Amino acid sequence: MNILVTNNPLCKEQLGHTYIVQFAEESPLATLRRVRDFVHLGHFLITHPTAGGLPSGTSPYKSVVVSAKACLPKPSDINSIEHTIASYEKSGLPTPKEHLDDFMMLDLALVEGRN
Amino acid sequence: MKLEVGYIDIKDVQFGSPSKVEGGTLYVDAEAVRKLVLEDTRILDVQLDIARPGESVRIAPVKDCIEPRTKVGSDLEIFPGMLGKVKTVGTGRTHVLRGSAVVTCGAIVGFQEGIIDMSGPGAAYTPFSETNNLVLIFTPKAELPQHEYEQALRMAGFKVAVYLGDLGKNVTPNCVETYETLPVLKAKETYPDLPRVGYVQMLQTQGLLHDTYVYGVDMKNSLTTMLNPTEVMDGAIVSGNCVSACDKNTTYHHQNNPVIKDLFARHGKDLIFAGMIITNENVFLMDKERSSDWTAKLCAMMEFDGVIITQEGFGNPDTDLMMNCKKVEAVGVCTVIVTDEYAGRDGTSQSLADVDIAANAVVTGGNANEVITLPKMDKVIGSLAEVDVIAGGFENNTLADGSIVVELQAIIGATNELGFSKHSAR
Repeated sequence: MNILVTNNPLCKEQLGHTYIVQFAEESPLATLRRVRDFVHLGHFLITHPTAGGLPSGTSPYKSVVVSAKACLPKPSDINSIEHTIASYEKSGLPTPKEHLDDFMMLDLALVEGRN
Repeated sequence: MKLEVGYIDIKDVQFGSPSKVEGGTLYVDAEAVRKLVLEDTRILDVQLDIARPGESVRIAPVKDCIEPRTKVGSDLEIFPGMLGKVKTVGTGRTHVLRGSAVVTCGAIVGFQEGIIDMSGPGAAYTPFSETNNLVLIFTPKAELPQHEYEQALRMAGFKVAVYLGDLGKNVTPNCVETYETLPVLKAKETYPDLPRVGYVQMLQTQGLLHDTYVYGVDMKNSLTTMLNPTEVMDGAIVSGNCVSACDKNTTYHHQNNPVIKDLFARHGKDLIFAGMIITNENVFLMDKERSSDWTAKLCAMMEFDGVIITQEGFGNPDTDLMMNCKKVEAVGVCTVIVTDEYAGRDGTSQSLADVDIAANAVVTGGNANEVITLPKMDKVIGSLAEVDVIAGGFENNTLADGSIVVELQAIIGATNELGFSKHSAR
């Protein structure tokens, strides 16, 4: 099973049968940094880290799937995760405190995959 | 395939019974429209309003804009596979109520976006400040799940657009334009010296609130495939995309795709409009690899000399855009890509999330992070309750005089990546 790195409680609750869930209560930026650790250890990205049509930092939740297997780090994946982290660091947006259920649901829909 | 499109110019929309088109005015029987919408029991109530060009009106949060069209003299139907028969469209005759639009409004999730200003500085950034809009504001049944609310709202918009479009069946158009494509060999024989130019349209398909439908098929479940461009004019592609207001393609954008219209305008003159490929923008990297492989494969099979590639959305789709660009270039087909930018409010950040040296011909729709102040309007249709949490909004962005400060990304169509805009730069 692939690994789901997430701070979304709804993903933890619903996707445990699909992925090995690595959950932590943290900011989306901290979640992305955990994804970066996986990528540099040679796990490759299964889902794109900037998925979702919301600007960086708009949603309090972030979920990214990485491979269970690891080999050599993939340059294109390093570029994707580093760019995503940089855009989150630059956005400086305050984490929303309202509509958390909606944000959770949308984040879940992105990593659930096709239908 | 040959399509005749008859344009009926609509100068005004008014409520009146019965619904009809007369003297350039679209009369709408509000009760008949309400009845049609409320056939879907998931919708508790719908309010109707009208917004005209130049009025002091702000509409939010907008989900979709749709142009009323109808098929004439055949059993074909607009929006095939969505509302009625799935029979292949793009031939015969189509009538368009040009200058009018159905605009759907509703708070599907708590964070919302999509502003249309009918006057003032914001009006210059959206094409829907120039259309006479019938606005539908939906109230769903209590506890209706978001995905069902989105579907109910989306389908209601199409139903109303078809109801209005049908009023133009027996109206004489102000002008008629003909669009025709030739089969591959015939085109080569007819224009042996002209380059074969194709169009690759990328469609937003990341999942709930980010979907696009083709003949009723959810495009995220489709392989990259081909369409005849005239099919798009008959509603073969419809929007289910409720996010990223500035660079999403509403159904109206699809129906009036300017890349298709401009390629037709030059077809047989300095190029052959040789075909159209549609592909998706999924979240999973494997899907991106497969879809972009197929894009390049189809470009090679069609023997295109060059293609225009248009993107929808930003961030994740930037990766699809670059994969498409470099793989198509690698099979010997020249590319021009059309995108927009998220370069930060000061314009100094990297504009795209992904880049490649093969992307050496780029057209931009503008910087979506650019900040604009929208003055207070006399009337708000829908709600501005969540304007601080819309994408492109920010906390405390409503000023003392009632004006609001947002990034361009909050405005419907502001940085459209089909190039559906009047803005340019030198």
